[in-house]
Amino acid sequence: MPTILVPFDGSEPALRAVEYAAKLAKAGDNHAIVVLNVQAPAPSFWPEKLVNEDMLRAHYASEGAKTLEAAERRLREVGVPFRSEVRAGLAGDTIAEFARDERVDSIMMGTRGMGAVGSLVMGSVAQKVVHLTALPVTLVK
Amino acid sequence: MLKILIAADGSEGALAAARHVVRLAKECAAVDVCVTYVQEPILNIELMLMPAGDVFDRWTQKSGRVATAGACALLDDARVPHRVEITSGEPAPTIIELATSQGSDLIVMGARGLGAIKGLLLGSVSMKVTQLSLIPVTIVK
Repeated sequence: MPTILVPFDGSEPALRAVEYAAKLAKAGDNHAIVVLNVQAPAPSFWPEKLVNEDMLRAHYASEGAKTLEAAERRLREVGVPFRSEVRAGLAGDTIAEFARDERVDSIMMGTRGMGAVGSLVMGSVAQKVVHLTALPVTLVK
Repeated sequence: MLKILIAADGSEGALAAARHVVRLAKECAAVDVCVTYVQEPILNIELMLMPAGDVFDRWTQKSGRVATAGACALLDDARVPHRVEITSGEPAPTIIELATSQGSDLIVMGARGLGAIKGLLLGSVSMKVTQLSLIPVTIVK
């Protein structure tokens, strides 16, 4: 069963990437979609007594889940099977790592995400992913 | 029906693109594939020195057939029906124009073409296409 990884940061292009992956999954048979939200790691200056690992993990999970809601809503509307994942780390590296560990077959993502400057050619995350992965990467405006 | 345009230039990347489309064709019930080659324009002065008016056009067709041969062979082997479109112009905008006029759902191309330096993340044509195209672009390595 071919798996499409859609990194999702809540941006418009990311939502279009979700729609595109859903369209492809509908056209094909047996496609599975994984939507992945990568949370930027929290600054490490908090004393460990105030913020411990568990709190951080819970924070990432809830923030990630909130962001993924828009993608999940759309995928449910289209009616394609999917699963949601949240990770914390540097976006580009984490996406490429996830793709490798979970053995997905392709990646579909927005050309630019939340972090990018409007005039930028390609967002830094998309660039990093294209650079780090050997998988086909579909970029959606 | 998923309409796919492959941008081919005879490079390894173009073959990888064709292989990816073969996989897509297996996964999706209906695909419509067009293999394109865009010949870069030559200088006007060279055009003026040419003995007959259609030399450039014949040359374009010939180099196009050579450049698309590998990709077409891969599609033929996998019994994926496809058309070939050979034209001339500035590669990136012409690829996008072709895709737009054909109503393509997807452009598939190699990360780097014939002209690119090996260490480069993306070749200049792939870079420009991902930059300019409103149609999703799949970059294949």
